[in-house]
Amino acid sequence: MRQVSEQEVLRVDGARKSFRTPESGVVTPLDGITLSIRNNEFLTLLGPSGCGKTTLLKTIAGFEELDEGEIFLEGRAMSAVPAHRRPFNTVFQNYALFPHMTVAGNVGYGLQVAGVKRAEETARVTDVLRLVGLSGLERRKPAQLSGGQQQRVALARALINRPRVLLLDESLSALDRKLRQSMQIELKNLQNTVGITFIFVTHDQEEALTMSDRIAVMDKGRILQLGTPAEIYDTPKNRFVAGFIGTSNIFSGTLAKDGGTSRVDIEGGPAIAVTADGFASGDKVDVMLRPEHFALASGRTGAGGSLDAVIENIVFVGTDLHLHGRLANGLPVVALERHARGAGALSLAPGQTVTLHYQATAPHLMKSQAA
Amino acid sequence: MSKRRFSSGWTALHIYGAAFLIFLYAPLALITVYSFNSNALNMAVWTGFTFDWYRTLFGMQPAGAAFDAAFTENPDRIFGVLRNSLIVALSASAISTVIGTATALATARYDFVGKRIYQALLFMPMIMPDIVLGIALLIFFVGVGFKLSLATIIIGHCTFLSSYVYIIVAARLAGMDNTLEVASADLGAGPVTTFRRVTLPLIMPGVIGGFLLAFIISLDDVVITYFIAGVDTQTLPLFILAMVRRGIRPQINALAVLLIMFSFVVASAGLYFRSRRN
Ligand SMILES: Nc1ncnc2c1ncn2[C@@H]1O[C@H](COP(=O)(O)OP(=O)(O)OP(=O)(O)O)[C@@H](O)[C@H]1O
Ligand SMILES: [Mg+2]
Repeated sequence: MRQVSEQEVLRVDGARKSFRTPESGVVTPLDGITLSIRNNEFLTLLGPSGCGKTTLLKTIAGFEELDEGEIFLEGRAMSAVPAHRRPFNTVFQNYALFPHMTVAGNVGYGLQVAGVKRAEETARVTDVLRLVGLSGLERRKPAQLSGGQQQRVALARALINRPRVLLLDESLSALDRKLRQSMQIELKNLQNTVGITFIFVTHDQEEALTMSDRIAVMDKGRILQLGTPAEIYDTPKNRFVAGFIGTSNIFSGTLAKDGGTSRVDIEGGPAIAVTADGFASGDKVDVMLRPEHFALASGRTGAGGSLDAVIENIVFVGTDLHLHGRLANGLPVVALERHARGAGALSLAPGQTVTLHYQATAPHLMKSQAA
Repeated sequence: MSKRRFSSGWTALHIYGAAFLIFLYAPLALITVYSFNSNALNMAVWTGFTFDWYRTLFGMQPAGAAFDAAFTENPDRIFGVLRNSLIVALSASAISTVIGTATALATARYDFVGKRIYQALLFMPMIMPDIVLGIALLIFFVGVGFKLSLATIIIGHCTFLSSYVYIIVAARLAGMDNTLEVASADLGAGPVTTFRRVTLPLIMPGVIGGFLLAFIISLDDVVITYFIAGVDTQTLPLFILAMVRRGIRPQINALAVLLIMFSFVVASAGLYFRSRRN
């Protein structure tokens, strides 16, 4: 089995980059980014559109120069190394396939440039095209392919060079769900067998959670949090990260410690029982409760609390039901119920008031960003 | 009522279209017919079919009648001016293609001080009246002390042909996705390989188109060439002009038809290359 060693492959150190825009403003897509990428790791960059993900990939690949900072590959500074000498390959957001070459020509390009023998090239092209499920399309031109097929050619073209680091910019976004899942599995297999380090950009949080060893959540040119999918999901550092991954209920309030118990008083609303290590009484905090933390039945042991909510909407999402409701003070809340128990069995209907129970260990406290 | 108006408009459009084509092509058709007319005195009156004018043009048949001797050129001279024209057109368009393409690449890929002004200046030779450019070049060559020759014609032609090539190649480059060059570098290709394998093939239709256009323009340029050709160097258009001065003779029709055919072949080649690439 693959091992993500602690050994660092790539290090981005204090990267800063800004552009002057035609509107005569300045955008700073990289605002002091420091990031250490481990050998054989699958690292995902996640963040809203325009936060600097593509720019970060470009500077790593060498297409853009940093204003400040440095990129190290195994300790070697990269700023003086031109893009074509860096052992990285990119799958571009817009594919960037060579329109005048066939599929085989596109995929074999890197090998031809490297002077690989014709016979070996043909064999490797055949292999990698089989891998991405494009066997038989060798002689098509990019214009004769569907969007998803083009994306897979771009993937094959980058993979065939066996780069140290593969940079993927939303590289599965044009594929249908089934193909996407099989490509995800293939990428993970490749990571296991070939030992490539991946830096992956996606907008799809499910994809990020299932594929990644670690996720870096970015906003406005900064990394807000870097951690394993579980860390990001369970213990987000702030409201933005919590809101960006998964569905969450976030309430702002003031922490009140009272002997052994702690609670957060939500403005104009109920109090939420919490465990509050590392926070002081009177702190302004955000409390996060994931929908799955709520249960309609209170048959739990241990300390906890409950919230009363009026159901407004019941959304069926396959295995689960999402209950959208409102607290007495008008704040929205989302709870999740397993479908197996059934809406009918619970006889839920919009307009009904339910009590949502949670355990005291469930609420996650974050420092308020406003403070 | 409205149907009638529509159909009368339709008829007008047809007439306009036909008139357009007639104005454009009737003179060419006429000249072709005249070039085969055996009537040496009045070409507007058909007396019979002949290849004589083509033959005398190339000296394959001595000019029979006495009045012909006065203007029939020595066939060696025709081949001489034709050779001059081809040398000028080929060298000037080849040099201009290199200069124009390089300029287009530079302005498309790099930012430098005064780029806008530079780009505007590139249009100047095209909008400047030929006669001004011709005189300016003449003054320049004389001032610098260049002896007027084929070389000065070539240099002179390059000054404005480069602009034509630049515009055509720049248009092609504007339509090219420059992440393709980035992708090529990403796959390990150095700048030279990237140019040879990615950039050049993609702008090739523009480069060939620019070359052919430059070639045709150079081949039939009269005004500018007139100023910068030395007394003893003549190109085909200047030669024809000199011939016409002494009266329009049937041989000129034959020469014109040959030129039309040649241009047609070059233009077809250009169109063929365009369609093949897209
Ligand atoms: N060459 C440039 N000139 C000016 N601004 C630029 C340039 N390239 C990127 N930007 C700006 O930098 C910011 C970051 O862009 P970037 O492409 O890195 O975003 P992204 O995170 O990849 O977004 P998306 O998810 O939409 O692809 C954007 O605001 C963008 O407008
Ligand atoms: Mg992007």
